[in-house]
Amino acid sequence: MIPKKLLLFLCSLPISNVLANEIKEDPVESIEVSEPIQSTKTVEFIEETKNPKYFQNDLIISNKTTYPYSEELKIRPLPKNHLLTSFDFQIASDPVDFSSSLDYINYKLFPRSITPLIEKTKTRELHLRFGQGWWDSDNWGELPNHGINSGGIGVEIWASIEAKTKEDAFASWISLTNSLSGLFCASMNFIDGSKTIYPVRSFNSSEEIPLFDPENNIYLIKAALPSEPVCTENLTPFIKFLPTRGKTGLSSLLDGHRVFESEWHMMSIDIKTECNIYDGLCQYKLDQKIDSVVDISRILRRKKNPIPKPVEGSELICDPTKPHDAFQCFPLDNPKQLQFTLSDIFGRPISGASLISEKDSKVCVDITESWSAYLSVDGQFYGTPSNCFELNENQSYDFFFKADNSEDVLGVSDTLVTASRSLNGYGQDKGGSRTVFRNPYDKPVRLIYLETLPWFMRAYMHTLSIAGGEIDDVVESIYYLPEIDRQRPTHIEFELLIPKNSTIALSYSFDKSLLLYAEYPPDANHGFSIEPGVIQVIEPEKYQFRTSPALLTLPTPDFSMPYNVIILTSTLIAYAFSSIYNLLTKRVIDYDDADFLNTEGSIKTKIRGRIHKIRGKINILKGLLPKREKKVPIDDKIISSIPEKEETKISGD
Amino acid sequence: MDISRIENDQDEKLKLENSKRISQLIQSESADSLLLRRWVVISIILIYVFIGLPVWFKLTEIYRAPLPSNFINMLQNNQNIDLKIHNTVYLRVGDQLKFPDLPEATQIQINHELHQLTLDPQESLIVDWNVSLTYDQPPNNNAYILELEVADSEGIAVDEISKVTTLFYTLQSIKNNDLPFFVTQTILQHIFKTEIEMFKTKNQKIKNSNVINYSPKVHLSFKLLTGDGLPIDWEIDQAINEYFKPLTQLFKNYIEFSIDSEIKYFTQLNLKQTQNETKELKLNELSTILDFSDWDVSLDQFPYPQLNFILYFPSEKQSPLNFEFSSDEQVPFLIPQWGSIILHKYPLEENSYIKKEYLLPVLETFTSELFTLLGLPKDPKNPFIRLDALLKYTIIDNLNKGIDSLSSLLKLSESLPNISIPKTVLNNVKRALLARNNIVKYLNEDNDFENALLESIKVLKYSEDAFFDREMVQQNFFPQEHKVAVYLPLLGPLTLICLLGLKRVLSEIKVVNAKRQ
Repeated sequence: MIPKKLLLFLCSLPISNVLANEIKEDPVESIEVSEPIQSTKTVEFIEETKNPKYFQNDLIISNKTTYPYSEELKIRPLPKNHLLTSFDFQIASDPVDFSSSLDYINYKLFPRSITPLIEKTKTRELHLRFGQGWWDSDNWGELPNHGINSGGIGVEIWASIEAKTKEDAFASWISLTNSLSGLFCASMNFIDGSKTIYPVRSFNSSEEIPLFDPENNIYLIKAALPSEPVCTENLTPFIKFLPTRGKTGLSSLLDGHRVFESEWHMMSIDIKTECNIYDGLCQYKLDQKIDSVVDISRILRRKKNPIPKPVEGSELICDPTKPHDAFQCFPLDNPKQLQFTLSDIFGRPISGASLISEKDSKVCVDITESWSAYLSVDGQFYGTPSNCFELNENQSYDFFFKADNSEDVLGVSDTLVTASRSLNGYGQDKGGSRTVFRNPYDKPVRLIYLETLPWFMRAYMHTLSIAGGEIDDVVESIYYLPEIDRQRPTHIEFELLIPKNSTIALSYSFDKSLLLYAEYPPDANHGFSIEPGVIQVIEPEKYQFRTSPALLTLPTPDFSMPYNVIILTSTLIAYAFSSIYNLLTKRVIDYDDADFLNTEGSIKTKIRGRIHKIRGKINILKGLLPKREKKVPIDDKIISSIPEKEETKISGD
Repeated sequence: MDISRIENDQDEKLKLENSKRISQLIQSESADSLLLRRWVVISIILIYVFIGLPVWFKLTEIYRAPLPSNFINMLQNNQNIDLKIHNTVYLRVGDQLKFPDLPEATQIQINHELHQLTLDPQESLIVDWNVSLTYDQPPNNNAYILELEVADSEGIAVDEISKVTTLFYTLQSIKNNDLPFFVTQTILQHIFKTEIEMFKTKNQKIKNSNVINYSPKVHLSFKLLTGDGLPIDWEIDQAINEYFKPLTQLFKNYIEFSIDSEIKYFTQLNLKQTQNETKELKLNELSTILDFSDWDVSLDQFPYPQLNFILYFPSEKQSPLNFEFSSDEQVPFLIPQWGSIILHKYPLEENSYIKKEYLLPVLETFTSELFTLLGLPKDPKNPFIRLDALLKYTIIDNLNKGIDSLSSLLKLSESLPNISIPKTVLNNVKRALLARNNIVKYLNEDNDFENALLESIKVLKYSEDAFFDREMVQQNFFPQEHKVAVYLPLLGPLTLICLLGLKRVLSEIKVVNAKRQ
């Protein structure tokens, strides 16, 4: 008899015996595998522990309830023992007629913390990105989901706001970013006009954005904070948006320590308003994603040895193509054979499926033949041919992965074009920016390159030059909105056509402005982050990615300068004053006279005069004493300090 | 020859010679010129001390806006001196009877009663409060109306929906001329009893800590919380529409309610997970057991107060909750200034659906707790009269709180002479005082309590903005010594030069005087 629980895994095959043999052959692995028959006991046990004492009331009836929530986890090994995990949580709100004013809202699943905010600011679409780390596109290929859910390093936010005028839209935008700042513990409250742009061709949504008032317009607004450190405090509100609140379901895997330890990670939140044309009801759709890339070998190493130690000689895997013996070894970094569980990667297993969602929690693993993935429940292992698993029981789940050749992964789709941006030039007042686009394929690539430069970086469009091609062939069009000091950043959108098999470098130069004393941040010498350029590939297929942020060093003043100025000026004034004062109050006399007065008035003379006086008195006293001729010269020597020569001189007088 | 005598003689000689030379040197300059030099030295010192130092002090001074301290102190010392709360009661006499002198006769009695109150400092009212009676037609249907009707015995009937009070009197009482007394009693002991009690000095100290500060807008959030992740649902939409909406309609002139509801899962109680079954909930531990921050339910998205009403079901693991203080299956609790929670003993089953019939008594409990949280007095039965009393009291209370903040600001600025007082503080103080003037106008001239309330909220807001000004607090740590230290390279040499010059002139005067003698 098949246990009741096993029926839930309709697509799963009873291969655990096979697997058990496999594992038992392997001496390294020590997972205890029990016979599948035993699991019936487990089911009974669970039912026993459940205390079926519920709140009973005739007015509480049983009614099958499901909510529009779904969660999915995709796991995909990448070359060089890296692992890409993509979480996807989707929530929809109840359809409501938004055109009439609402005085009462019922939240069932959709996060209550964000909805009043969106409604107040009339935000029809909201996109938030929190990212950190570097995506190695040479090895890992395209960004997940064609880069649509990826942002730059730091925080990026863009929104479509319905408003009558641009000023209204901006006011809503500021209110939105301020509230989000509190919600996500990020410094989005520092977004102001000098960081905000209104993208023209980039970020345009492919779908129609509903307008609730036909007199209004939709304004697309974007800002980025490239130097924002993304950390656990941003993840916590992210998890609290989910109905499971990280307690069950796939979100129970999300632990700040593990997510932020990864090589690259990206949290994204997209909220869209969708309306049904037929009944006029609208609803919000919230899509939350977390993508991260972890280095499996590093994580396993850390798990084994939290304090790094050198690898023992017996455990070294030497490069067979190079000479190796007992004393010589060129170690290979990445072992080809791997065995690990999901809880190794995330620090904990999945604590039960989400029972609130209308669909089962789904986990899919994209692997080749060299890899195998099994679901592990209560020590039982299950596999499916599609490597997709559906979880719908309230118990602990884990996954077991095994690779004979970890380098054999599903082919990564190469990026259509790569771009890298750098700042060049020397000195404190000028600089240049150079972005290199490389198209290694036989198809020309059409893309839109968006750059937002802060106002203190004054770009000169006449210096725009293209290396590796003709400027007229490469640059199709430019949208350029120059900066206004402290109010608006420079906003450039290039439409570029990168010819096949070519490398194009786009460069221009800029001036660096001086900031006001109070405008410098506390770590002014660190430099100012320039937000990543956004590259949106239109042809041959849609793809979106960003360059890395740049660090611009500005001339920084000496911040103790005001004090120095005060002190220096004070000294100069004191000096000038004393000269004039002396001229006014002192008179001019002979040098000899001045010398005389100096000696006369000086302490040395006074002391000498005092000594003379005392000596005179002693001499008088001596005159009163009875004479002892022999002692006189001795006394003289002791008391008198006047040299003999002088004495003779005086006596001569 | 004695050597010492020779030396002494020689010293004397040298001294004589030297002093001769000095006096020659001194006399080489004319007395006028010497005098001029002395004048120069003294005038420079005088300019330095009497012009230079004050100018330096003024130029490097921290900006301190001039606060209207006298006016604020006056307001603080004589609270509500210029305020009057005058209510008008419109009399209606049924049964074709006419009492032309009834208002005057009653007014005398009312004034007398109110005067009696002022004799006892504990009983006296904090504001000039009075009622006047008239036969005029009420200007709107929100006025106090007192109907007189003949009946077999004396009695009072209070309407529940409008502010109409009916006084039943007998013909005997007219004969005895007791009618003015009855009317006075009705007005002071029934209609305005709560209001008078609120304004009494002795009741000012007692503050109800449960009550939120009055705000014209209040957000109500109804929540269904469960410790588990099993899907549940409730018929809250219909329940609120049927039961709660009429209530909000009733209140709409006083408080505007915005409402939402939500379901939250995995809101576990902060109970110690012990193996034995006694998970006893003690009343004094309740504040640690209910961990609102973890439940993520109290969010400040609204610029006005939010009250939460929670229907709580524990998780299977934590159930049954063992209430130490009650054997009921559900226990309601009031959480001061936050809301109310109803704890259930047993968890809900999967896919439970709570019907509106179950929610109606729950909402009734919540309503009575809402009244407590809003600080509505218990008497009289008519909610409008209660709300009116609360409203008038809130105006005066806000006003006094605002004036308190302003006088604290004054105290702060006086006790910290180095603190800067920016213009924004002054502007906020001015705005607060302007709003106060508006209240005086609304109360004394127009009897417009709604607008006065709005202005009193402004008083509170501006006075708090003035007190908690960011710039003012930041500049707190800029001491005077710092300034002296920075300017020491200027002040030090100047002072030293001036003093040494003075000393030289003084010694010169001594020498010259000695020579003259």
